[in-house]
Amino acid sequence: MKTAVHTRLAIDGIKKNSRLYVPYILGGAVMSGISYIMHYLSSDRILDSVKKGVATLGAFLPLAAWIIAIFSVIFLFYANSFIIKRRSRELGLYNVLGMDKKNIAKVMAIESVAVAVMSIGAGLIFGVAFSKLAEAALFKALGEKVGFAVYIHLPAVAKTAAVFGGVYLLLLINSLVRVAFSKPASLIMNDKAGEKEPKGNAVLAVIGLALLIGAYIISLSIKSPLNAMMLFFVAVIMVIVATYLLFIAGSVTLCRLLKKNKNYYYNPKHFVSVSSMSYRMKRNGAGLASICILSTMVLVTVTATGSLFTGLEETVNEAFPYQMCADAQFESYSDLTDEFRKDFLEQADFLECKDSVYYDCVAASGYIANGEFNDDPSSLLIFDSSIADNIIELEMFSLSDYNRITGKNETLAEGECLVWSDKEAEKFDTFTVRGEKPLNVKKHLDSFFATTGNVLSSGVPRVYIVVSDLEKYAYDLVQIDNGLYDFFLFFRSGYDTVFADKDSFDAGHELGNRIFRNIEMNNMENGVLSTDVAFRQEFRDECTELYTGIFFMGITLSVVFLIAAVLIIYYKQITEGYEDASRFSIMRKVGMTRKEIRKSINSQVLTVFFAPLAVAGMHMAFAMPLVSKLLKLMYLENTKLLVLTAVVIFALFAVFYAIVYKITSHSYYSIVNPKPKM
Amino acid sequence: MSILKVNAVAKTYTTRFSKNKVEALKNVTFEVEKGEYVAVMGESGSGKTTLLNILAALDKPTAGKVILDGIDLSSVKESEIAQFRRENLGFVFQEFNLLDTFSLRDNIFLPLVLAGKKHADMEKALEPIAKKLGIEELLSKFPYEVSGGQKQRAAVARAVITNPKLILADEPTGALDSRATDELLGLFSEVNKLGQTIVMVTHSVKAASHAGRVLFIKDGEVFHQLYRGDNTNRQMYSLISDTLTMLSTGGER
Repeated sequence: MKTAVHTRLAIDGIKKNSRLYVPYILGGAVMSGISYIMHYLSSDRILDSVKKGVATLGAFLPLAAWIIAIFSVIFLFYANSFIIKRRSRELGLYNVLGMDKKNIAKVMAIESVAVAVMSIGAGLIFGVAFSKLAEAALFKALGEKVGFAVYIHLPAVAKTAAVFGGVYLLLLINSLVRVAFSKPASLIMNDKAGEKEPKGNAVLAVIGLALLIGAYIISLSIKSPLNAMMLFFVAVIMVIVATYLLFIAGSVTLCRLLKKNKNYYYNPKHFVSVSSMSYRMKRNGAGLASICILSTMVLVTVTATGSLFTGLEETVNEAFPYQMCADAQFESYSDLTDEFRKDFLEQADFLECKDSVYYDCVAASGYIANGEFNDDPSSLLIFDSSIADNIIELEMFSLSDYNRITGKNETLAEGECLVWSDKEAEKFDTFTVRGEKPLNVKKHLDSFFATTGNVLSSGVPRVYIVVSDLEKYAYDLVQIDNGLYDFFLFFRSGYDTVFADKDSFDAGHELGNRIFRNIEMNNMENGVLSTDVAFRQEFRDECTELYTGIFFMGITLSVVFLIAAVLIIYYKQITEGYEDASRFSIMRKVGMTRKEIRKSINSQVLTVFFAPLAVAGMHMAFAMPLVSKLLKLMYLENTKLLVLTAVVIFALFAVFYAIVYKITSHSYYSIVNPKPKM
Repeated sequence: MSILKVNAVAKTYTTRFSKNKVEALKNVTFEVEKGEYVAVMGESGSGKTTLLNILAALDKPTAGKVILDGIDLSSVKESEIAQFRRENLGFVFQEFNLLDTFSLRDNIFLPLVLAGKKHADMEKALEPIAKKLGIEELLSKFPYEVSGGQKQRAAVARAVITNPKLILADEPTGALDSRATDELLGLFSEVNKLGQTIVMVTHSVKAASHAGRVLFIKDGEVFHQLYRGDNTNRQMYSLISDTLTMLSTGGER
């Protein structure tokens, strides 16, 4: 046969099955478009023009591009296998009519090339068109100015075309292998047996339920972000498995119950839908579970990265209550003299600050149990969740500093202390360090002054202890040097409104650095281990960079998950449409009106289709405690913001889901109930 | 009393690519009395399927009238036609047209469910029919679990359960082996004896030989008809064969 014939057969095949091919091509186009954008944004052209975030963006964006490629392979394979299954009848017919497999392979190859060219071509056009928008968004997020020139980045084009060309080549090879091993008879055959109710359905349901409850308990009970990190993926896998089991077992049970209820079942509205549901109950359950899991992924990813991004300013202010913080660390309390304090503060006066704070502080990390603080680092190496849950950052202050800064007039007797702690940390009545004489807790404080060293604590609960005389109490703790050198003595200070604008920031930044560098140089012999100056603006930049990178990646992944979910919803609808079409045509012959068919379809789709959304919402709600712990690792402390973001995202997603449902159920409807041709 | 009147029905198709008109039915006129068992015979392309589709209200004639129990089919509104079909007609198809998502019981119930009947009433209606058709044991099975003959019996049950005015059968023995064919034709005769009117389209001489009257269609017209009278099935068989031979050799009436 001539190539022209093959080409015509291939093009006709695509045209005739546009219902199958259009979403497939669109899905591929969007994936390759996003991939182009990621390559474009991580190209030197962009990274050279941004001052900040080069490292993070350079790492995150190509990673995102690769993740997209991997997901594209999975989902395009899914869609492609679906298309092959649908088209096997037609190909089988060609085969029976005397077209040998070599020729069929040729037709398929031409078809694949056409699909690949259309997908990648449309993807690149889409990518170039939207790359400017993405660039603008990125620059805006990083606080930089955007140019207007639209630019086609050839290396990004080449990379995208190469990667997706490879993906489509894999798809073609897969299709060819399938055709090569198929028999013409089996290509035309079509299995009509319904699914049997699986044995041990109750067992599946119980296992699923147990896994789900287990995962939810993990999420609800975890206290420390470190544990959250370790158990997050365990919980995710548990939820995925549980979702599949429960949806399958649930759909089987639901079908059985509905069928048992004769008055419900033998009702024109439910009769047809319940029976079709039970005909494919397992497949239906699995499909719904996939939709549910992808929806959950979208919801959690967008919520987490979105709230990080929107909570940026608050996070920065929380971590840096002052525009500039300066610390000096000492070997021993005997080195922290009044002379040094005076000198330090005098130097800082050069900065013309309006508001400042300074205090002594002894800090340590360790875990606390019944008010007993243990800083033995070897015990922390054991991954015992009861220890990990109780890891805290301990900071100790002197009563005189506390009263001076807060303006209060607390008093403490010998052997007494004041305690302030994060709500996650345990409450205790006596406080002990390394077997010393316990301190009685005189009062649990509701609030504390803004301390300056919070950056380090990243999600670990903090416990502040105020003692009557810090020097006396902690002298030995700081001193001890037997390998357990864990109590650090700091002189800390914070300064505010030093820099009115960006120019003065740059000047102040330099001045601050110089001043404190001097202090460090001058006092090296006097027991100062190091000085450290940190600026809020620098931290903000750092966070912006990190969060922007994470946000872009999160959004990208969400889009990919979303496309996957939409594709699955769509293909699920049309597979069922093709299956049901012959049934509905029989029913029309037997005397079912168009209106009744429409009603029956609505009943079917509504009963099952919004279940994944509801369950995804539930998963999301239960994931929030865990997510909030993870976000603490990235400094986000504001749980309210997280919840608010979650609610908004869920509402938006629900609207989107409803629209997708509407559109796809329309295509289902037009397959099963075509308009009469008269 | 005639239950079905077919009066000068014609159906002309216009093909898609040319303006040539194809006359599937030219001028068909006949009546069916209540309780009659009529077979319509003809070769492929003689227009018998077109006729059946028109009788089933699945298609509309280009000229002429079909009157079922006093109702002109062309006066039934498009939106009500399915309901009309469900209430007045029962169907038996060559390919059974059972739904593989339903058990046999539910397949038989389908028209009743659509009519909004109560479940208890459905069971009551099914019991004698299932007994008569010998499918009591099979009711919980699915179509893919039973034989062709059993499927067709379920389809007959579905057709008769609504007590339709007319049963339309389209090649009902076409997909059955000879034993199942005999069984089914026996059932049709029995159902007919109970007063059920049946119109069957077939090109099987054997199937037609069970009918009370056989109409022969050729080139879109009723060409000839045979009454059973006192003939046995065997005698009918040879009469029909002779007629068919005459038709295909182009003999005069």
